[in-house]
Amino acid sequence: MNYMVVEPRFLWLLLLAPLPFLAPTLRRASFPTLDAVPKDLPSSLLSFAIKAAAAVAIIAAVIALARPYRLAQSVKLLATGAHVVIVIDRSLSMDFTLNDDETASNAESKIKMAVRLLKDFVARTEHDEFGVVAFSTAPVFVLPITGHHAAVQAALTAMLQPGIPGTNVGLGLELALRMIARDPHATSPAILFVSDGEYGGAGFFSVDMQESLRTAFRKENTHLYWLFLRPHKGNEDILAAPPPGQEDTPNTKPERHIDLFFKSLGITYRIFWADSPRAIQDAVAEINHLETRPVTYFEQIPRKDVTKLAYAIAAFACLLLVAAKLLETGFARAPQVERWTASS
Amino acid sequence: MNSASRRDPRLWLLSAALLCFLAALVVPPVQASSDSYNILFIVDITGSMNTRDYTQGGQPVSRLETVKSILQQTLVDLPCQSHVSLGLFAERGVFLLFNPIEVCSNFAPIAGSIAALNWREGWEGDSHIAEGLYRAIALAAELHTDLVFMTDGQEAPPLPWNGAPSFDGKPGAVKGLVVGVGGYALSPIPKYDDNGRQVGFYGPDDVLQESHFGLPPPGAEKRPGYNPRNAPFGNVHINNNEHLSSVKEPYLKGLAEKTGLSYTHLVGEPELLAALRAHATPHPVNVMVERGSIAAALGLICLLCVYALLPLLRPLKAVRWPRSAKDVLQRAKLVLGRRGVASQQARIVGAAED
Repeated sequence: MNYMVVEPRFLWLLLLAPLPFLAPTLRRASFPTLDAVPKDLPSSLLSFAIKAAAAVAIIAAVIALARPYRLAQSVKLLATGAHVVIVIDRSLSMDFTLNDDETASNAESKIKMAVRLLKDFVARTEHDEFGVVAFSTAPVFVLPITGHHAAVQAALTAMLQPGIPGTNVGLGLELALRMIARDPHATSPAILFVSDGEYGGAGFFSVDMQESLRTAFRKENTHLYWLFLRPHKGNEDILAAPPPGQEDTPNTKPERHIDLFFKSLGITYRIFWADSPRAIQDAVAEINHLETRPVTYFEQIPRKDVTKLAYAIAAFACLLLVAAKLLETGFARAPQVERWTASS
Repeated sequence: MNSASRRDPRLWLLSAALLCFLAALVVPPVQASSDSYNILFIVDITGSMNTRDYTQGGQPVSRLETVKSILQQTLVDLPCQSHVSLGLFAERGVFLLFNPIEVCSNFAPIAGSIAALNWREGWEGDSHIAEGLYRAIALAAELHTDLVFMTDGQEAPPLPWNGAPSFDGKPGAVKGLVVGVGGYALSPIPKYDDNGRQVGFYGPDDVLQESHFGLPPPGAEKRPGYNPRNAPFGNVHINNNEHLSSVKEPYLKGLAEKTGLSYTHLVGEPELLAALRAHATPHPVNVMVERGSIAAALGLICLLCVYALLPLLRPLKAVRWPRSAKDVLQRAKLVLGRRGVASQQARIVGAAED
């Protein structure tokens, strides 16, 4: 139970709460001393209850003035979904169309298409949480893993701004893995890697980088999906082994070797070769389907003002006090006693 | 209820308190107008922002860390329904992290993004601040927000002698602040290796001390070693202290003036918020204001009358002021004399008179 107040300076008034125990609520009876009356438990309790009611009224009123509220809470719930870190390639090549055409103004650029479908993907899943990493030369931490879909959508929209030269796939993935490692609730993390793979070899094949990626991928047990935005050119398969006689190295075929590296990780990995908007849509739908594992998620309950409750308590306590005052009879001699005194 | 009850002010005060609290419960909130802001924050993440010339709890902290902690606090203090957008500045461009989002309902992710700001996200080491600022202004115009551009003003490489490139936008079309970050004294800039470990500070020979792009400044022909073709800038090392950094206030003020923004120096969160309120565009939004607290305060006053004011007044009324010298004497005798019996008597008398 976490309660806070907006105006803590009023809480000093709580020091007034014991006052009802010092001052009487009821009239004093014109009776010499209470010592003359036998001890009576119900009477003592009633007397205490009246004082307590007054103290409660003062406390409730003071707390109401301080405007109490219950802190925003999160309730842990179970649902199907996933924690997905979207790693977006923001290099300049993503600003081109799928056919690597800069000039065709009516065609959608790769990034526009990717963002549109990703936004769709985010909107369709209710309990998924998303983090966003963008990378060009350097990786950029865009948004931590969050269930606030409005923020995720805003981050995806921001990716439509012009890109930055350079592509460093490895650093982007490293940052995504760090994000997952830092997320305490990433029960079934996945990385959705959105890249056209152009110049993707830069820095990726250094021994240090590969070792660090390998360790991190295994440690986090992350699923990896590569949305590979590249048109098919004729019958050429960029990912297949080249015909014998041709060199098959990371230098000549970086995309193929990145793919091979991912396959060697021993994690759930799939590449979706998206060469048309339709294919991307299918890929996103399939990822959506695959990533329906049970996850715990946290439903946010916003902060709630409980001042009204304090007013109600104060009013109720006052009601008790007013009732006590109305039922008060005052001190009177019993009629029999008077008759007895008169006859003597 | 008898007449004695009716004469008792406590009954009426307690009833009044009850009515006040009931009123507080039922009084409807009124709609009032409050100001919210839509702001694009652009944070300079270039190397000079690592300079540790702020202090926090006695420890030196870097400019970037200071910016981050102040922005986090600003986020808390911005009125709800304000929209915030965040971007990075490095090289000559800005990189937008997210479009404007409502600050209260998206607090956690925004705070997370601010916390993650890091100089290593810079895609290039250069820092062409004027050009970055112009792009940021264009971006703010596109997003329909005000701009808060936070930088130390350290151009790297240094500007050519003829100053910053000209601003071809419309001055004042975008409102907001240029926030100068850093101390006024020159401080060394930490130098990091590729893995983010500090390896010392920048020395005079690590940075360009003078821009050698474009035409040489007038008077260059008088420099030692001047040669129109081979050494148009002369051949002598100049030390303009470009390896040290301080907030370049006159330069930033000039940029702010040129673009129709306002300038403020980054001191603390209250100052930044005040500058924001003064220079950003207020967007009136409707908020519900509770009025119950006035009624509740009246109720509390009634209660305090019963339990504090009346008891304080009562002894004054109840005191039996001595009417004559004989009276005083008698009382003194009572008190000093047979103390036990006297006190008992006094109690009985007192109670009876109450």
